[in-house]
Amino acid sequence: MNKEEIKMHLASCRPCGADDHDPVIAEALAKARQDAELAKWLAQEHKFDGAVAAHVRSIEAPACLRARILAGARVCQPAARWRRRVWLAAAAVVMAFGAVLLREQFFTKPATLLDYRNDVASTWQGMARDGFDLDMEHGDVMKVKAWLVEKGAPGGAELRPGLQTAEPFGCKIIDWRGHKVSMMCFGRNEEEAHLFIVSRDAIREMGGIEQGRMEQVSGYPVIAWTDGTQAYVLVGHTSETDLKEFL
Amino acid sequence: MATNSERANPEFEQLVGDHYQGLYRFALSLSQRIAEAEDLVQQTFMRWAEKGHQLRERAKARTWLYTTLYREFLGGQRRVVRFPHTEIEEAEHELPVIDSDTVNKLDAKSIIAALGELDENYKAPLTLFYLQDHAYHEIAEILDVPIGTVMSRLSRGKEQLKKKLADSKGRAAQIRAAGNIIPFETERRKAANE
Repeated sequence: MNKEEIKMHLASCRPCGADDHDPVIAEALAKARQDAELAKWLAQEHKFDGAVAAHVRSIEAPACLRARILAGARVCQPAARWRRRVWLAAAAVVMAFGAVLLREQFFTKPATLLDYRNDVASTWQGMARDGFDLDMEHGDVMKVKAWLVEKGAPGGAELRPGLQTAEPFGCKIIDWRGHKVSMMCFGRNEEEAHLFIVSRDAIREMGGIEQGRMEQVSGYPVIAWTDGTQAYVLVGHTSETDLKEFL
Repeated sequence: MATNSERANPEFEQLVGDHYQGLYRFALSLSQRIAEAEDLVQQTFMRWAEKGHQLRERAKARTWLYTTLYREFLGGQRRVVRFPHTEIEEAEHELPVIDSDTVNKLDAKSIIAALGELDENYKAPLTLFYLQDHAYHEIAEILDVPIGTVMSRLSRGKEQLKKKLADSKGRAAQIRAAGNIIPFETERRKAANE
C-alpha cells in the first residue's frame, strides 16, 4: 500500500474513532502511525473532518417535523386501507351529511351554529373511526388556503394565534347541506386539531351554544365560533386533545 | 400491508425519533431547500410505513431509510446519472490550504451550502460521512456503489470541499474589502436618526 492508497483509505476513517477497528482502516492507521508525514496529515484531516462534522450535526430539523411525520403517518395510515376502497370512504361521508340534509329537508328546520357544531363533531367521530384521506397535503398554510379558495371552499379564514403558530399539514373539502366545508388540519407538538370552516351564510341562527366555549361532543373536544363571514368548529383529534393550545 | 396498529406503534415512533434529524441533515444537504428536505424525510417515513415491514433484518432499518431518501431525491430530480466528474489529481496543485480553525469560524449554513455545491458524485457520500453515523461500507450500501468507489469519492470530495470553502472564504473577504457590507446596527441607527 503506497501513501496515496493509505490516504484514500484514511479519508474514510471517521474522526470519532468509530472505524478504528475496521480491518482496512486499522491497517492504514498502523502505517500512518509509523510515518511522521502521514501522521501529521492524518491529524490535520481529523481536525478538519471533526470541524465540518460538528457543523453538519448542529443543523436541527424544524421543531415540528417529528410531530408532522407521526401525524402524517396517522392520517395516511387508514388511507392505505381506504385507497383500496376509497369510494366507500367518500360514500360514508356523503351519506352522513346526506342523512342530516334529508332530515333537515323533511323538517325544514333552519341550520343553527349548534347544528353545524354537532354535525361536524359526529362527522369527525366517523372519520376518526373509519379513517379518511386528505385532499391536499402541505405544510404551508398559505398554500393550503390558496388551494381551498381555488376549489371554491372557504379559505380566507383569519386564524387564531394558536393556529397561526401551529403546523398545518393539509386539508379536505366536505359537503354540508349543500355548502362546502373546509377542513384544515394542524399539528402542535404531539397533538392535532382540525378546523372546519363554512360560510356564515350557511347558518341562519347563531344561538343555542356559547361561542368560544369548549365542550365534549360525540366524544371529542369542540369549540365553535363565528366572525363576520364564516363559522368555525375546531375539533380535537382525540378526546384528550388540549384545544387551548390551538386557540 | 402495514396495519394501523403497526404504524402507530412505539417502534415506529422510536424509529422516527432516532433518525429524523440525521435524515433531515442528509436531505438538506442534497436538496439545499428546507421545504424539500422536510418533504423528503416525510416521504421516506411514509415509504417505511408502507413497506418497512418487508425488511426482515430490523437492524438494517437505518440503512434502508437513508437509501430510500436518496432514491426519493434522485427520483424527484429525475436525474440521469451522468454527472460531471472532476479529476482532482488534475487540479491538485491548485488545492487551497484550509484548516480546521477556518472551518470553525464558518457557520453550519455555509458548510451545508458548500456541500451542496459539490459534484453530485461527492455530495451524498460526503454528507453521509460527516453525519458520522455511517461507516464507509454502509455508505456504499446506501448509495449502491462499490466500497472502493465510496473511498475514492470521499477522498476526492473532501479536496473539493476544501476548495469550495476556501473560495467562499475568499469571496467574503473580497466583499468586505470592497466595503459592501454595512453593519446592520449602524444602518438601523442611521435610519432611526433620520
